Amino acid sequence: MAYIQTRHVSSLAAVTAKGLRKLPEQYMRSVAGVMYPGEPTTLAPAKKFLGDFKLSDPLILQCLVHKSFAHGKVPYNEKLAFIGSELLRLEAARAAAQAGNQALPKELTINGQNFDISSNAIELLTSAQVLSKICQNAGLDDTLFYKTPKRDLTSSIRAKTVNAFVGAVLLESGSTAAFRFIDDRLMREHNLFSIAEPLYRDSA
Amino acid sequence: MRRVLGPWQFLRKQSSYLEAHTRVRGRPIQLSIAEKVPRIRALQHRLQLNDIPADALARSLIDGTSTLDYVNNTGLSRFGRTLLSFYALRHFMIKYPRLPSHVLKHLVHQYTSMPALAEHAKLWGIQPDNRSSLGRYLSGEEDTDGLGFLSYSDKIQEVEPGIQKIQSGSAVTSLTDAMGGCVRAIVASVYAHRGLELVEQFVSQYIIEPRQVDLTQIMAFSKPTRELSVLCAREGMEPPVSRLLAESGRFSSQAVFVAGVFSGDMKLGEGQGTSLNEARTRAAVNALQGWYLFSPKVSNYVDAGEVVI
Repeated sequence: MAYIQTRHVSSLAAVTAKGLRKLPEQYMRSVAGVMYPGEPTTLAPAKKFLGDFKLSDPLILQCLVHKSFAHGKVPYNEKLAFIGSELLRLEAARAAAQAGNQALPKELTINGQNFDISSNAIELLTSAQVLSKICQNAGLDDTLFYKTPKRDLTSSIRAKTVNAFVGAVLLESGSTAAFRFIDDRLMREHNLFSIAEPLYRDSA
Repeated sequence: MRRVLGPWQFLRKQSSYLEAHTRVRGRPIQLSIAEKVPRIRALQHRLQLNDIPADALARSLIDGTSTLDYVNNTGLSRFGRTLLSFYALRHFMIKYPRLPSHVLKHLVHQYTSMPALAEHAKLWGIQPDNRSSLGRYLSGEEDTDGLGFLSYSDKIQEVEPGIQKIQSGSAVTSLTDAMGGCVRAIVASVYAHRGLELVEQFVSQYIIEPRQVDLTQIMAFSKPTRELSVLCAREGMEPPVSRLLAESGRFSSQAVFVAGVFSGDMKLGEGQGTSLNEARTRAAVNALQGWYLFSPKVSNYVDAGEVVI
């Protein structure tokens, strides 16, 4: 009996091949499907979030771009978020020291300020959880440009966006405007304290 | 005495949140007693802090591990750390806006870490006193005699000559951490009485300016030629090309090559080495250092971010 040996060959069409360059259309698109640098409506939620504080359109766009997007080929918000988070932490500590003086006898305050508030309570005011909530409430989620391995929008990416707006106002308009931005937009409009308090109780 | 008022008076509604999270122990330091302590007066004059009340400075010198029955500097130190981190970061971010984030973090750490601040405390003439309350009692001293010294509980205790006991836990600390903490607390005291603008001047004058760090030494590149190629592509420049500019003793044991890296007609950097490859790599590093250490004249320059490779 004669056997005939046969071989079946199948091939899969890969979307990309190793070593080849990707088309910009493939990687310059946000998870929401918006092509960078976005449509006229892309910046609208960010401008509403900024309120009276004016930033140039390229700077607003930079605040919305995470480092993971397009392999860092377009301006991204990492350093803006870095300085913004430091300023936000400082302003939260200042606000708490100023407003918390009633929690102490006068002789234990320093020039009428309370510097003995628990660090956990102040850290929580500027934590990724709280800032992520603010980003969601401001409706910025669909306008962010990012890429994560799971394509999942994490609280860290959202928090960096909010921090980046603080940093952008600081670098563009100076520290007085940045402090006013934090007080007006984050503390009054989006009330950091009311978001932080239940989180603090949950973590305790 | 000038009150520093912010626009956040509305936060008083949140006093329940702040009251619930306030932690303080010890009794207040009386101003009349602190004013009579020679060491505190000397510190006031040395740092030009005559407008800062002596009781605030005395409190800044009492670490959280101190056995003195006075309020300590824990909260002040924490606040001072926030102030120092922000102003150091802002200083370098405005001066060198293109520095990579990890270099910026390292630089801020170089200026605001406990060992760095402890050096300042030594220069300011702050002297430690780590005696226990029993030790002070046996010496016939009271708590008020400990004011003006940096009061803390050292984690290293000499049990007998030549034998040291190292303790751990939150009740003890090292001399370096106690010294660093008191510098942070002094910065916070300056803020409390002078406000933000003047504390920025204080930080600049006493913490940042006296210390010089060579930035070219702390920047390291793992793949400089590749990073330079990506940078040129991102900035829309022609791809970098290395060219040999000069050489000496190619066939000897001490050859020297000088290479330049060019983008079109523009020379980006130059480097020398004992091989062609070393010279080319050093030229790329030189070009990258020139890019990252760019210092603009305006203060609102916003960088696009470091190169991702």
